[in-house]
Amino acid sequence: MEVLAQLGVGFAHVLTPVNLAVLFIGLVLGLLVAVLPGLTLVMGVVLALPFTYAMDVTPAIILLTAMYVTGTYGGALTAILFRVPGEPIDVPLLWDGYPMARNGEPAKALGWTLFAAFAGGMVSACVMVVASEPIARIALGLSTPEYFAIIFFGLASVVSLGGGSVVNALISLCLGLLVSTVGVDATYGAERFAFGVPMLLDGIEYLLVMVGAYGIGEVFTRLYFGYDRTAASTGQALGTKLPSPREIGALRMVLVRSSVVGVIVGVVPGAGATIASFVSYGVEGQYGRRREALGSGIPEGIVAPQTAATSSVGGAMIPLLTMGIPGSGATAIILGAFLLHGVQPGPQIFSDPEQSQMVYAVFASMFLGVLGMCLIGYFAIKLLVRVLRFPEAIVSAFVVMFCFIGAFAARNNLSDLDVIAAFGILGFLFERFRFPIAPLVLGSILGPLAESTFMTTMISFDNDWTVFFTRPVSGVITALALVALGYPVLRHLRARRKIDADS
Amino acid sequence: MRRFARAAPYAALAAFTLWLYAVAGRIEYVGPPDRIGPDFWPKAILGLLGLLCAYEIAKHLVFGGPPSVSGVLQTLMEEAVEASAATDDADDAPRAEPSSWRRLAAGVAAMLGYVLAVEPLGFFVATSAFLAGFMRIGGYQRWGVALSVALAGSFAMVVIFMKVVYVSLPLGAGPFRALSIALLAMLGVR
Repeated sequence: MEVLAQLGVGFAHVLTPVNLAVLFIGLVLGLLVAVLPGLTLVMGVVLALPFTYAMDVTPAIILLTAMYVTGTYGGALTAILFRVPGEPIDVPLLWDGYPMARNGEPAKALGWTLFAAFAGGMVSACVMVVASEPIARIALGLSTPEYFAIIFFGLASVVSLGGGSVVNALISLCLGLLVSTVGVDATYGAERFAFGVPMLLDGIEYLLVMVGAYGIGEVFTRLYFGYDRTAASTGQALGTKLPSPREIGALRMVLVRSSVVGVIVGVVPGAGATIASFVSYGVEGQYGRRREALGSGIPEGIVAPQTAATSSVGGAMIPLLTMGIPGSGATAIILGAFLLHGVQPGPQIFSDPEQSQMVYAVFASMFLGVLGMCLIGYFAIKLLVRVLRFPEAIVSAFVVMFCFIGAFAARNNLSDLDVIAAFGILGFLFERFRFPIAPLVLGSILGPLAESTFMTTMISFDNDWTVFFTRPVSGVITALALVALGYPVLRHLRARRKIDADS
Repeated sequence: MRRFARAAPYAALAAFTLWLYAVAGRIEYVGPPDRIGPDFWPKAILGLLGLLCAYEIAKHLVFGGPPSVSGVLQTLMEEAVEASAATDDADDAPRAEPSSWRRLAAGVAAMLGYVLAVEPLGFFVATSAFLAGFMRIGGYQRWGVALSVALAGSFAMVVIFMKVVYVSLPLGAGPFRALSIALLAMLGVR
């Protein structure tokens, strides 16, 4: 009951002209970013960050969260209509969404996508509201060994769930963790890897790593491989035909399954919308009533990935708000926005009346954001699709500028531009040599927290490292982390054994 | 030869790791001798990094580079590519330009040039030049449009960041500073 009352206050906060305007801008920007060639969800949220510097914390988080939610939906439009997935999240939509559109039912395919995003978004917003405060209460009782175990689990899952080779992902993670050690260490005040350079003494801000590797690195990669100049034809009649209640009723189990998958995958640090979308499609292929027909253009193949992708947003926000641990690129930027405004997300955020009010305003904005996203998606589809014609060379030039301003404005330091240019080149080399970027970025973000919890544990428990295994909670989480690391190896061995047996 | 080429990035990284490990060994601090010091954490990371590099070098040089253990998303994506390849039409494949080191080098040079030039030239002039140049490097052929978009975009960014978001952007030196100040005066920014 108290949660509902708090949520009511949250709605009252969001329904002010400023917050509503910010929410609307976030929704439109999120959809544009998802549709625009050369931009991804994470890059979009990165580029919006400098605009939040002058805002209060509540509208700042509302803006970024709105972009995050809509970023999981906007790319579906181009995937279904033109077979142009905005980003990996939308790839599963190519298998059933695009065939359905080619079978003469593009409006129906778009209608199912819209409904799936709506259902997934609403379910995840509800879970977020109901689960966050109890989880925060549990987190308040955790000690440093448990915190370290949670971070270890997050880093392990980033490595095992990501794309590319696991060894390359581990190398990327190690480099990210190393970057976070540059500067003066928090426990002893010792200088590490600064080489007498004043800029390095202050440490390397993870924001610079993120903006450089994700933003500039992606621009370099696209510049190297060449921009796609074939503008998608937008001449076809565009519209959205929503499914009838009877049709929705027939797919209720798909909706439930995909929402649950989305929220759970979202909560796992390092997973996120892409994994949710693929896993949900896989679950449908394994357990769905019409699994044999998947891939031929049936609604189940659209509803499963889209519902899971959007519902993963609420899941990903839970560890961020309750423990201050971002599990994905987008939530890492939202964490950055919190910190820039002097708010440290974590279990104590619900104990502070002012901050708790802000969190409930963010919850309320999720509900309104999902609704607004669907309304804009329904009515403005023609305008959104026209954005595809925008030349990528112009978009990329502005992306670089926004990355530079975002990096510069955080500390008003021109030498930060050198740092993001360097990480941009590193990001390109990572793409070129197939090293995933996400572990590098998450390593640089979670590195200081991992080190401080590890060092505090060692000091408190007389250098006894077995404490991570012997305490019940940290033991279970550490074991889960080891399972996460071992899982890809087991999969690989099983696949090789199968190939050997077949040959 | 191919084996050496594949092992080369890991060998370079291994050499860098060894050097950093030596640097970490010289970290100075004051603390109780029975406690682990500030060098422990970076040394542990560097140790793991060294082992990973050694594994990859051995994999490529000794065993000829057998398939790597892939992350879960990689496996899912590979299955995705296989599934979509079965239903694709060749005509639908997106067409892009061939990859080009020259284009990349020009892009990197433009960016580094911007980093160096923004302080003496000021934000407006440096940004206008950079935007127009970068669009051209990206293959945008219409110079007039590129220049207009660059000027309008730079002006819009000055308005947004200096008047709305209150970011103090570089003004430049000498005549460029005078130009920036005149522009800001026109916008009513002091």
